[in-house]
Amino acid sequence: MTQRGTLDIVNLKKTFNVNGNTTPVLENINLKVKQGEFVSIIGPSGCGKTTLLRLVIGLENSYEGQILLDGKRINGPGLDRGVVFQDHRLLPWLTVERNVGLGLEGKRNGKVVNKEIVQAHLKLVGLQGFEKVYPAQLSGGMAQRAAIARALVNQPELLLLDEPLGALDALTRMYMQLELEKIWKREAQVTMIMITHDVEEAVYLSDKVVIMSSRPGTIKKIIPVELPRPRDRASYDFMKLKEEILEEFQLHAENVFSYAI
Amino acid sequence: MDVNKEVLKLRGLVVPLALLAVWWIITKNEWVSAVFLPLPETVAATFVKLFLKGKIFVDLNESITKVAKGFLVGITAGFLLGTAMGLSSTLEKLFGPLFNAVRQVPILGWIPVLILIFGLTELAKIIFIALGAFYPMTLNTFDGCRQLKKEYLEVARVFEFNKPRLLWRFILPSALPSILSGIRVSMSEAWMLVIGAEIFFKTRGGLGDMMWEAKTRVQMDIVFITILIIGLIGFILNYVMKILENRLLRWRISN
Repeated sequence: MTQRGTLDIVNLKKTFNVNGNTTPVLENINLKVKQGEFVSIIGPSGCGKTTLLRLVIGLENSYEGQILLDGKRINGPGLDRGVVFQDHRLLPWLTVERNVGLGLEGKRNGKVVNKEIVQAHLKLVGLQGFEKVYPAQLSGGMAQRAAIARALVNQPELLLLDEPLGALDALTRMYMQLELEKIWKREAQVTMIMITHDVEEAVYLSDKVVIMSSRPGTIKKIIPVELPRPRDRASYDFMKLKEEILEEFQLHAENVFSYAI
Repeated sequence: MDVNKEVLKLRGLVVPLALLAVWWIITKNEWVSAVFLPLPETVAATFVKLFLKGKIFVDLNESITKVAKGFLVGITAGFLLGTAMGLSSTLEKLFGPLFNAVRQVPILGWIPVLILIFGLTELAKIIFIALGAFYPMTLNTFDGCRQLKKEYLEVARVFEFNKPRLLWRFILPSALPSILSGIRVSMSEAWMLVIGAEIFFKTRGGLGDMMWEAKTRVQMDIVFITILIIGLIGFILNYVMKILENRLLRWRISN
């Protein structure tokens, strides 16, 4: 039997119809993610990484090949997957508490139990005391914490993060990376897949970095990150791995010393 | 600082007080006949007299009851049609063109039709007022139901929300600002039309009738008083709605 929270993508192909022309967006995607793994997908704009994530979420439906969650084909969204969007997408008319509890409303747990679950998740993301606050009153980082709590409240097998920290300033972003790692450790059962533009973020958080290239979107390389945690951004191994990934994008700095006399 | 703010709030009184002064100067100097423009003192004295006699409350009550009925019928119908057209494009295609055509007919244009069908009855007046409240309510509710951004619909899909919960948690709250301004416009529309209803459907009672009677007897002071009362109540209704809006939409206020 497959373990909970295992994602298997086999020979995935996705095309879009634009003005009668069929354009391939994703081709020959093969990816295996184990339970509890943290996987980052990184690639240039237009490489189809967001489409890939939307397929796993279930917001895009027609595709060739297989996307299997615990061996079952994904067809449409489900509560076994939690989603954090780049723009937090908290409902502005609901308090933080209500927003976080959104996924519990359909369940017949009873009010007291639901309240406890919400409280536990607010604590997990460090938002106790903000229960009655409206999203408009939160900073970007706090709103994204609430969005993470909202996505985890149903105890999903898979947490899908679409550039969750992309809209934050550099300092808040680093701080949130620490938080995200803490949450990932605490929720050890939950498999996390994150889309990002930020190589350092990917290396800092992931067990595996998936590098994509564009037109059509394919997986160029999968790089395992086996550095011990918590990771030191300034360490030699960390820098080397970062360099290695940047090299894939032909973005690394040439060895400056090679030109020196 | 706060004193300054309080003083600034009173700015709205400057122009009315200036007008009152001009009125007083004109009448005191008898530049205009007192028949057409009575002295402010006369109007005030008549007001006190009417107030003591109590008849004015009977008329006021009559008008307010009528407005309340017509308003409630109008906004309920408007809310239902607006939501239906906002949620279903099939219903919008079915009812939209008719609604937009009928809406072009001035409300006053319905008076002959209403009189011929319902006669000079209470029902005719209520339908007349309801019609006035119905249009803005329908339009605003319809617009409001189309406000929900695609991004939020995706959130609803991710949480597997069914249609009723989508409506309750997503569509109606996002439509609320629009719905509330629909209610506010409908309310002042209804309040304005009640006077028309009482004048044109020529029946006894109500502020419109009181005003019309006074006109027949050339009692300009009473006409003035009714105008003042109508204006004042309209102002109060608007104010109350504003407070209600601020309360219900407090999530929009940041920090």
